[in-house]
Amino acid sequence: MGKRTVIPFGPQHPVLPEPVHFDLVIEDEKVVEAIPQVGFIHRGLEKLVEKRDYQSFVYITERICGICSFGHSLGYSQTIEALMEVEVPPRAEYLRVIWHELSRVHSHLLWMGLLADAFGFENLFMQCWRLRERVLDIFEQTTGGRVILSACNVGGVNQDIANEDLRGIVQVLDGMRGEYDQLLKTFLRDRSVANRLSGVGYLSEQQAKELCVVGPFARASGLAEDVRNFGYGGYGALAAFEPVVSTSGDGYGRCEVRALEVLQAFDIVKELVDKIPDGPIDAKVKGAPEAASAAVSRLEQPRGECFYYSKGNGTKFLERFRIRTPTSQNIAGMTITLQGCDLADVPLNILTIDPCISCTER
Amino acid sequence: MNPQVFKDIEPAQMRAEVESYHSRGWRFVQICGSTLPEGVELLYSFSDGEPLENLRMVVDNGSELPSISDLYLNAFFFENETHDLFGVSFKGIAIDFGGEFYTVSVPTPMNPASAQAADFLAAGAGDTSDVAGSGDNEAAPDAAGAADTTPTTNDNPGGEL
Repeated sequence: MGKRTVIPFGPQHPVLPEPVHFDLVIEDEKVVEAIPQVGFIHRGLEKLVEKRDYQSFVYITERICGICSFGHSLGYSQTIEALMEVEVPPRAEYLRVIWHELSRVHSHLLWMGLLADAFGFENLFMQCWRLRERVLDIFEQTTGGRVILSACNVGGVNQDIANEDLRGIVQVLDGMRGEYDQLLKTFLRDRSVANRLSGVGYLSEQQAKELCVVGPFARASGLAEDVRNFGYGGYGALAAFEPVVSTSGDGYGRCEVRALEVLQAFDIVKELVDKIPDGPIDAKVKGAPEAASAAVSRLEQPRGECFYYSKGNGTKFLERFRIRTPTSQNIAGMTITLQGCDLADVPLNILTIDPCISCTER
Repeated sequence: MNPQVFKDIEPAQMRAEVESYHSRGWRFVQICGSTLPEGVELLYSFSDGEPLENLRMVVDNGSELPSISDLYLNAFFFENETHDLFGVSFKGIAIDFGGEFYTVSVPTPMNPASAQAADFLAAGAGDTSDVAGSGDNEAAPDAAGAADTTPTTNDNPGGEL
């Protein structure tokens, strides 16, 4: 048995753009125990519901995270709509899902690029981010924003996309598909990539269930948990939906799930563009949530299930708003995958879980 | 539409209810605190696929509840958060940060009526109406003091998995 040493990891680290800290207990270059620490950038955004009315708070939710920006505005709006029993027009539901799935594409491509960068494949990193730019261009053309879209509001969306522009989006995605297939081949069949990811950060299906992990982290361990499966909102219009699942439980499995979810998102966008009905895009929402009313909502963000809770007090200001992000649910699982991991693999291991600390600390 | 199921319970029933969800294989989703005039409302959420149920209870300021992190390890995140932001204590948290989970300028910023916030004000530690610029306040947790802020683990239940 070697000598045990505690090595601090983070909160600043070249591989991780966001501040998370681990106390790593090391023995013979292997991690014996990892104790996580967040809390360096807690912003108290949930408290701002006391200062912003429920209609304008949607702009705060978009700024919780630069990657899940649209998803947070959608999740928040869904919660307020449940709280106030607002019926969203079908066209708005379809548009929301189209933007949300495009967000998933850009989030996963961003992560795949960061992963390639972490294991030293610079060209692959740049190819991923080059493709991602096309999605950001679609955002810019349809909403005017590349990161913060400001397209979703309580009751629907505030911007329509003309049907010919929607078909144009599908053409862009079809054009991306050929190039993406080449990237996919590299990520999933290249031996050097597989050598770097296989066996890193293993989590069994049983552990994933006990630790309640969500998103691609859970699906890579064989748990078919995906909120899109429940058919909420525009997802109910899909002819069929099957979560992408892998059984390898390691870094390779997480890469496989995210990589295949990009293709799944392409298909969802294409199907909804084919089916989208004409009609209004916004339901007029008046009044305020009733006193003591409460509602919850869930949304499958790129990183996993996100939980939203709102509570009214009879005024236009909410009594409480809560976001439970996927990363806060996955931190316990992350600490378990670090146990037994080589010290050199720690950054890559953490990256495969795709933690978002900005979301987590809100 | 997401299911809206809220079950009002007494704090003393919480542990038994959570054990029931755990034994039936439900997944723990989150704990959320809300400030009330009479204390803090806590919401525990559990899911079994699409079904989602929420246990709702009201606890007095300064209350201590049993931790559920021995059943659901990831509850340690929410219990530490609820302690730091609302002043509710939990006994036996698997990874207990002892009030140093979040770096905040004033104690329990989401619950100004907590005992910790009252102590802070009684000590004349600062004007809480201007917390934005008070990052160097003496009463703020010292995030840089790693030796003092290293969290403690209680038997590392996750290691047994």
